[in-house]
Amino acid sequence: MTILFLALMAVFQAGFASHFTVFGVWWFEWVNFVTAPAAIIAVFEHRRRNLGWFAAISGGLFLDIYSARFFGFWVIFLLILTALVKFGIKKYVRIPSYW
Amino acid sequence: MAAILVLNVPILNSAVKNAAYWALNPIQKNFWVAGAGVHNFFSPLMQANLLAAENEQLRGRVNDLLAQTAAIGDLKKENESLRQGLNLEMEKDFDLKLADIVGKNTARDILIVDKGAKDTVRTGMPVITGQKTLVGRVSKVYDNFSEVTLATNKDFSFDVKIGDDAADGLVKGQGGYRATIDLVPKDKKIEAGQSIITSALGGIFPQGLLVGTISEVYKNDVETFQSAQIELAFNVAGARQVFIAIGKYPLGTETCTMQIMQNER
Repeated sequence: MTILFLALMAVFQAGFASHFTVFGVWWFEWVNFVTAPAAIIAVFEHRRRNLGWFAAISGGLFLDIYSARFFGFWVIFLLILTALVKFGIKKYVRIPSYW
Repeated sequence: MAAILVLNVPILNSAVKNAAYWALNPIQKNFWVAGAGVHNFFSPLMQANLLAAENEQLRGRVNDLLAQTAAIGDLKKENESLRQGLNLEMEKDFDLKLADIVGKNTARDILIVDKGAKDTVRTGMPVITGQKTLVGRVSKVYDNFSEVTLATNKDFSFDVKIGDDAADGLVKGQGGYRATIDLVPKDKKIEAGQSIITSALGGIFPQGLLVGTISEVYKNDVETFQSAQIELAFNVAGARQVFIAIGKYPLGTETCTMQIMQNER
């Protein structure tokens, strides 16, 4: 399901979203319809689950298909992003619990 | 990690990308067409304040062009009669192959079109619109698809001529659908609104393709050359189809020295 969703987002990014520029286009390279969901999954998933890593790899592969950079760039980028998010949450975010 | 390294081998990389484009093409093409439709619908609404001024400007240009067309009509008749007199055949300017745009590279100014090596498309071929407006150049060819580097790609530069004086200049892509013109000699007068056409000088594009118009001129006493911002005639947003000039243009692809320094970094 996640793979399908991210594939659809990558196609949406390359097909639909590239017609539009919002406050310039440079940031679209980094914050797009694949990296944003991958980051959101990493933020909100349960600590012990691995969907974030899975989303980073599959989302990165789809972005690499539509990228002129070397193959694997986006996989590495999203893995690092996911690692940073997970590390940040583990180290600095305490979710309040009352029981 | 090993799989990713293997996927960087050019043959494998091309095969994987071609297969992915082929599999995703039906959805992707619909997304592109939908995006073009939405853009074409909202674009005039968002620029409503500019439309009146632009309309007035265009009316003036239409009148100028009508006068020019009348003059060209006479010249064309004269040219035809001269050709007949010299027993020359009228040749088509280009052999064109129509290609649908199916997507765009997520970051760079590179389009993906649905014609590839199987359709005799080769790297280096110029890509234009039906109105002989420059789009860019084929930079990578897969079996069924090709990548077209737009004239605005930041690693792309080519020679042009400006206005009636035919002043030489060099268009440099800036990325993000923007480009500037540089290396224009100071003794040549350039001003906003002048049209820019490709030059055969650098051997990258055939002569006479419309690139765009000058929008703002930058002059500096210290600099040896003038530069300017240009407004490109081809607008990616809203475009659906392009033509690939597969042959019969003044310069062969073999002699072209494309200046895409590093398309893939």
